[in-house]
Amino acid sequence: VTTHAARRVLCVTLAGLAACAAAPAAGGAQTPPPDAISMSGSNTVVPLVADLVFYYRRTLRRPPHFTLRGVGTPTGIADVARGITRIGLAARGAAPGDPPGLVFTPLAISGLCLVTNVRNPLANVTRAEMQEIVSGRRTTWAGLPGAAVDGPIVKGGLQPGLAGDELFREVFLDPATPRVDVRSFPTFGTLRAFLLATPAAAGYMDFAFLAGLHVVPYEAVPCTRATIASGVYPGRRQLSLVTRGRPRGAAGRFVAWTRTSAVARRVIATRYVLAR
Amino acid sequence: MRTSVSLGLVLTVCAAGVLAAPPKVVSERTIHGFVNPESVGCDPAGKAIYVGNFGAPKLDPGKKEPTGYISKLSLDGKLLDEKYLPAKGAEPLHKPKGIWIANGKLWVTDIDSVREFDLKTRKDRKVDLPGENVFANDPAIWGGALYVTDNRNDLLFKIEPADFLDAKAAPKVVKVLDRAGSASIASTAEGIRYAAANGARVINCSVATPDDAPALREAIAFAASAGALVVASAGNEHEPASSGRSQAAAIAAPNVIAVAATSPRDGRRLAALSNFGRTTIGLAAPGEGVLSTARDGGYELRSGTSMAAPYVSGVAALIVGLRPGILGPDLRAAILSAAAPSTLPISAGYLDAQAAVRAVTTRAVYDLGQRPQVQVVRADASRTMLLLNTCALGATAAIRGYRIEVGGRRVARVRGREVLHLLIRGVRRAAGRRIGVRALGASGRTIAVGSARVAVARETKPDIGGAKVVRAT
Repeated sequence: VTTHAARRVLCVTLAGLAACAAAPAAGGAQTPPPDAISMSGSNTVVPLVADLVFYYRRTLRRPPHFTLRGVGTPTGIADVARGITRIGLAARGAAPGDPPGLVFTPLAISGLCLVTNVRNPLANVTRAEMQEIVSGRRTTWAGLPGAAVDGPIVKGGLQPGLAGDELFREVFLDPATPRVDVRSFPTFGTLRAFLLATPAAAGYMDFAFLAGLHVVPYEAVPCTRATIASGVYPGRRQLSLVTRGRPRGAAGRFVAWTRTSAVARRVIATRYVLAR
Repeated sequence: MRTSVSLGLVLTVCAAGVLAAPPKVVSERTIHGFVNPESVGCDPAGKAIYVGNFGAPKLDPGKKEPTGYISKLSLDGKLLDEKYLPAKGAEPLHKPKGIWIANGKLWVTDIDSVREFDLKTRKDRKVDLPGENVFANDPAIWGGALYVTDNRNDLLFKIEPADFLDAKAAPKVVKVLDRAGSASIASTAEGIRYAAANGARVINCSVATPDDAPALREAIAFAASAGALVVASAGNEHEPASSGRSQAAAIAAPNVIAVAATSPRDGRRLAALSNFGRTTIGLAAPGEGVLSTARDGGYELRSGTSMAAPYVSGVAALIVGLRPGILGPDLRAAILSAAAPSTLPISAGYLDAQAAVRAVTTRAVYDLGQRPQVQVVRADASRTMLLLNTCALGATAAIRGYRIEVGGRRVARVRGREVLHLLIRGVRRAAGRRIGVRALGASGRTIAVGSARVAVARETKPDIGGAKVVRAT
């Protein structure tokens, strides 16, 4: 091994947390058994898969171990492509830039709904109004049908680049519409907390996380299970399980179970629309 | 209900600690103003007595209620501050069961955690005790370790360091280079092993090797088994990191984060020298013109991914300081999921220290940051029994039990926060009626409700799997 001092510094520096190393919860080494089915990816898909895993494990006498981590769709896909995990969790279908050899198995169909705080039950929003709101040309709630709060519109969304924000941009915004004064959040969980706590807030939300929020129809089309299933509502997306090649072995059995089991279908249907 | 404690008893405890004098009642005066006082400790240096109060009028030591507080008294028994601890705005105390005071700090057990308070600044920090159904009773400190009894599970916890209030990351250096600045793969791997074996939680590693390095892979796997995260620089060849060099960065492991460097001009472009990779490199951090220590003892501006990786290590150390129990793969997940998305040829995006720390401190991820929800997955009834499946979503930690109702009438009540899978016997004519599942909080109030119409059981002997069997009330 050679080093080039100017370009590469060859050293191992330890940020050894002496103070925390033996804290009680650390508890020493805790690694999953080697046969564990590891999954990582979208923070939106993680809770659904966690429930599926719960029911899947109950169907087997000797169920496999699972590890589940929310790292975002891009890293979930990267992890499965490199063999770090067996299954990646993606909040979208396959895209042209994805690593070759990946198989996206549809898990569910979700919707991206436009929402406001329940104290401000907006009756409808048109595409033109949406452009005005997002671009900052319309700054107050005055004049919007059903608006029950006065004052400025407080806009919230996911961080640019996340799958949910990309879908919002593609479906609801014109290419030339700039986004002005939009507060961005890393997950739907944090965005939802913001929308719940802010009466004058407007934003979008994954279909499974709508509780406590007012869902605003878009161009008079409500964001419901029926309109998402029929494709009438435009903001729909696929949630997928991603494997390297055709799913095989224990991971393959789990993927097949999510597609065929009546219990799995019921669990999925409690949150989303079933994928065909 | 206000109660009192005998000053004589309090002063006896204090005197025993300070003077090692034989027990002696020095006063029979009674001090009022407490609500279910449970514990007491004295601080001879600060000349004060501290009394832990449950605060709730009903004495229920195992129930979590944010009513607890610690009163401060002078040594002569004057009540100085009824609710001295916790400070206003701090996380509430539930049941201060046991108190230990040393060196101006106060440790108090609080059902399933231990809190440490600075008696001067009132700053505090909590450590959650591991395991289910924990009931922490009394703390004690000896030899730098804090010991806590758990009288529900018959356990003794040992917490090191005992003084965890201001615990911070302490960087250590493991030297793997020779005098000429070169190292072997074996020595690098041994350095990682040594670090992990000696308690390092975050291992910052800048290595470049031209060949595949199984020893390095094994060392990283060893670090994973010890719960450590390895932060690796992406390399400075401006090529895909999977090209065969920069092995530590290219190693596929759940406890490795590879870091690319960004340019300082706008902090958003990839540095001209940085390696990249949509699948191999997780994050990007500043790596050009970074002020660093120099070999001559001064400072100099350095560039390279070796400069970028320590930014990620620093954030990782910050998170470990906040969540001492977090393991390498979870630490990686926390940092990557909080990254600011980028258009760079990397997977997660730019390092976002604030979002990463916020994610672990506010538990802003979906399953903990959401309001609890209950959904009925399945409810089938035959003539005399009801088979019920539900899932609980969101902040399920708040759920203490469930009440099941059919047609508005209670048919069963169960404890625990687990997902319900119940076979309720003795329920008649439930089919076709509405079933309601109420998740109950610690106070017994309903915090979430799920409902569905009960279907007719199609099978005469339904597969009840691992269902818990209960009898209708």
